[in-house]
Amino acid sequence: MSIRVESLCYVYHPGTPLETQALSGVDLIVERGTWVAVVGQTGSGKSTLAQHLNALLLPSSGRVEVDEVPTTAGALAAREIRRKVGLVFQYPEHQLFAETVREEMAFGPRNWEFPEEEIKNSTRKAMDLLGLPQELLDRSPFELSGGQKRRLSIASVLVSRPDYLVLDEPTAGLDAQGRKELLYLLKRLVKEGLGVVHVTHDLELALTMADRILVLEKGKTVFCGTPGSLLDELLERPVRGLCLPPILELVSGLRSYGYSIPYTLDSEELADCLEREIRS
Amino acid sequence: MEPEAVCALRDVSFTYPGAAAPAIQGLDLTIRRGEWVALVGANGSGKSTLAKILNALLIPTRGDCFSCGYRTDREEHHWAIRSRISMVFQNPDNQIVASVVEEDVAFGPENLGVSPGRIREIVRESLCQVGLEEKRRTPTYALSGGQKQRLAIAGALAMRPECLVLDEATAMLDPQGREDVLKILRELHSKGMTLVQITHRLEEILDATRVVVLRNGQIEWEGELPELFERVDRFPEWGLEIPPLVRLTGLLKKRKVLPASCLPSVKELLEHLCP
Repeated sequence: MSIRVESLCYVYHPGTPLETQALSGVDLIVERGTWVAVVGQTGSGKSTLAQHLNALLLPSSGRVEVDEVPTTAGALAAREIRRKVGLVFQYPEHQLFAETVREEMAFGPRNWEFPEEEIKNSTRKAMDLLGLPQELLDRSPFELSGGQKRRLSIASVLVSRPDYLVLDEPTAGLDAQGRKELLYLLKRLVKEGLGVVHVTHDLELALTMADRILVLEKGKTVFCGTPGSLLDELLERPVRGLCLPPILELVSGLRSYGYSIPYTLDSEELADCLEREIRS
Repeated sequence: MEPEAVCALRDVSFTYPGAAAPAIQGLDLTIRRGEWVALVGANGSGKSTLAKILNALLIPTRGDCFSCGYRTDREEHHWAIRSRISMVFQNPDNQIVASVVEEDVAFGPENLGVSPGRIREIVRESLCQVGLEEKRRTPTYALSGGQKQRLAIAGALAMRPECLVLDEATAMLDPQGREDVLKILRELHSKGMTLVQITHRLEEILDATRVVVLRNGQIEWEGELPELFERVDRFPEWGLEIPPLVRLTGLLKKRKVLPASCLPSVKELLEHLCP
């Protein structure tokens, strides 16, 4: 059971002066129970790729399959794919629209024709998972704090029990605690079999959380592999299109000065290495 | 209010309608001209509420707030306050009103009744300050996220404010976009602009002249950067993330590899470690 992306190309506004090739020949496999991070700068094609995973966009060429069903297999197939692959947008306020939290939560499952009793139960569960108190049910989603809106936007997708979750910068605007809780929750859901596609600018987060990382630059794959192999690759040469988090930028600067230290996010390990190098 | 104060809050509390607890509680704070104040703290600690009190978007339910010499609880002052204290929010799409870059920047001064010739000048200057002068005729939808946020800043600058309040203005930007915005802030601050910066990323506050930590609507701690980074052990209870570079800097200071004054920035660490 997986999402398979093969030789995916996508062109915006084909045949017009605005024609832009957003993705060229991207391959990716997202198995259930794994966490895949997609990193790259603004305009690298991350969001375009994300929208292909639940058939919001269809390939110009190449293919995207969800559990062996191509996203191009017609409206009925696309509908099922959209239930299986939940998409959480970058800005929660682009996603939230209902008058109350209760309505917001019920929208998806009602669409998929879940029985009302079940909707109630799964609403309670999804809100508990995200740490949203039930008292919020009758409030307007727009009165919630930034962190609560963010968590509601995720809960309202989880309530339809997707098999895959595609999240665009889910931790932006969350504080340390909220971020930790959300990442921990996602990790747990991945262990229980959810496939996660995490679109982010934050390489540090990708390196700590993901099983695999896809780096996009101008719509092309520049790297796809495990976090460990990405760090190894950095020892050889810079990876194009990759903005290093401050600690790795420091490592890179120190290495070019002559320090022989590894690319790692582990500050204890780095401190040990640096101390050794300096004292010797 | 002291003459150098841009904003002065005296025993300010604010409770949202229908909320059980106040979002801001008995807060005293003075923001002086030319300061760069970083406002940090957990979600729900009151940062955004405080920001909105500063420019009279919210009026204290108790206590007084003076902004640019005006009491914020008098409606007749709101226009004057909001043109002197400009806000930039997280999502630039909510702040951009026009379909072409230069029209968007002109929107504020047009509403102030500034003469067309002067508006052209202001638009040019404001776009220069954010490095978008070449994009002035570009449709706003064609800008990248980072460019949109710079446009939102230009729009705020076009009001010729004394103070810029940035509420997580970099949260949605990629590393390059964030650095571009920070560069603009450094430039503005060096020319005397007062800045209030709300962020969850401690890497971004390394130019602040003062840090205010909010917790449950009150000031939990305030001081300068080096003192802040001496209190890393308190970050978890304050709701602050400890980025790896901050942790590493702390460790190297403890082991006397770095001097106590070293800030956790790549630049400072390289200067010390690669003399």
